[in-house]
Amino acid sequence: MDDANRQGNILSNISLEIKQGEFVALVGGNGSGKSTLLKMINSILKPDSGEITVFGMNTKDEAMVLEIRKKIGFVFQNPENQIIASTVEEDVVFGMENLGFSREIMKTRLKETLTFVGLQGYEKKNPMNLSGGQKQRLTIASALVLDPEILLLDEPLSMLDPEGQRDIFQLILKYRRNNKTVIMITHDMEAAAYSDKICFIRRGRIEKYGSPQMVIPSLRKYDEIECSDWVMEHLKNKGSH
Amino acid sequence: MIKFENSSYYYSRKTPFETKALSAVSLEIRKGEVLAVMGRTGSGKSTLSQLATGLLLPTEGSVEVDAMNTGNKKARFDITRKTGIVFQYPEAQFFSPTVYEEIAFALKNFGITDDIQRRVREVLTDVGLDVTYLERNPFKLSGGEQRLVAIASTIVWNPDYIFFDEPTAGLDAKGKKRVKQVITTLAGDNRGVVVVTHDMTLVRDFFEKLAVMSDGELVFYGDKKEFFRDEKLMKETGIFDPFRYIS
Repeated sequence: MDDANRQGNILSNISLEIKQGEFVALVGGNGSGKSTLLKMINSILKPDSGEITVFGMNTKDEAMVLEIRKKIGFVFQNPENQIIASTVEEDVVFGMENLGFSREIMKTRLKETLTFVGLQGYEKKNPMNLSGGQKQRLTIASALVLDPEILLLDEPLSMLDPEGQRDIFQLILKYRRNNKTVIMITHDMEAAAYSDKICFIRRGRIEKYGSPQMVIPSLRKYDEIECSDWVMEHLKNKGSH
Repeated sequence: MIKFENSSYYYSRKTPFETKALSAVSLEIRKGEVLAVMGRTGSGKSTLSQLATGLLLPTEGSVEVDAMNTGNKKARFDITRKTGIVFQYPEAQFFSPTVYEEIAFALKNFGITDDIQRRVREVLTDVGLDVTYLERNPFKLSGGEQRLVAIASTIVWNPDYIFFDEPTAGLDAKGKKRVKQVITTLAGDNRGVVVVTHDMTLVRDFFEKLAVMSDGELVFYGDKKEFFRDEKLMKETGIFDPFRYIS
């Protein structure tokens, strides 16, 4: 992926395979290319060279873009940038309305999804009056209501208070239990330690890729990574079980 | 010194949506002091910063900046000049097409015309970005880079008191280190620094003094070690390491 501003590559020579049901944490410094990679998976950005396929569909193939996006839910760092409707229920069903779902299906899915994210009873509320954690639950609900196979998350926890971070993270872990794929950008190695694989990106290249037990100890030497003693202890315990 | 005296603030006062965001807070923030403020979303942390910088005026009680009441219209320019606030969402405070213009804006706004180029370059380096960023579009930077530009555009006019709202959210460890250095330099330069944050690691490793807000009230003010020893208060105020209790 080229960048006209920087006159260089944002991403170079990325080869990566993420299997269905995997939880992959994308870690790396600011400007390393993590968000670009996520946007390329969703076909918001196209690779200048090489190719990306999602369930066998090439993201460069314009005829496939809608199909690709139907399989993917995307949640950004700042929930306020993603909320568009004046009530919780309108926001959640917006994507389904666009895709022409029937009223009955919308009603059922709305109920199921709001229950899943813990926002039942909030249907008529104005999203702007929700707390930060509740807003992020709403953006996740709006993404999950279409039952995507893949959930892309660009630092979904960093703006939330500790309770919000814990609750949203538990929600993400609950979602992926149904053999769904989660790809999450995070700077927090304590969250990344729960993933199946860690992909460490540095200057647009994949520097390390593998299990947290394998990758995290080797990341401590990089100054863009902060790794607490708790993480090492957690990995040790995880390994012994 | 910034002095809160029994300060309360209500949003949408005298309407059906009236919400008390700050409740009778008394607090002093001195020059050279570094203070972390923690608490749940909606606990009043950001309101506190906005009252201290005169962006909001207390509904009850008073807020003074170096003995000037923030409600005094004649003192408004001086208060604005003495205080700076870096908001939680950096992109919300950008409006210039280049990083240079973004940082230089505040200087021009305050009528500071000397050495603008030098000041902008220096402050950019202080936050850890090199001069190649000067001509870049701030809206096209990564989230972390935007945050550093937002910090630079606030500290460039040398305010005496600086309020940071979640300055490390979205930053990598290198960026966090840079923010810590900026805070240390500012405090060493006898400026008062207040950092609103959810970042437990940052508070544990870096700060000494901590204020904790809960439902608009100041429920703790003192040595952070004392707070982290009080598990009951930590639980009540929702302050904990979020990923260490995942079931």
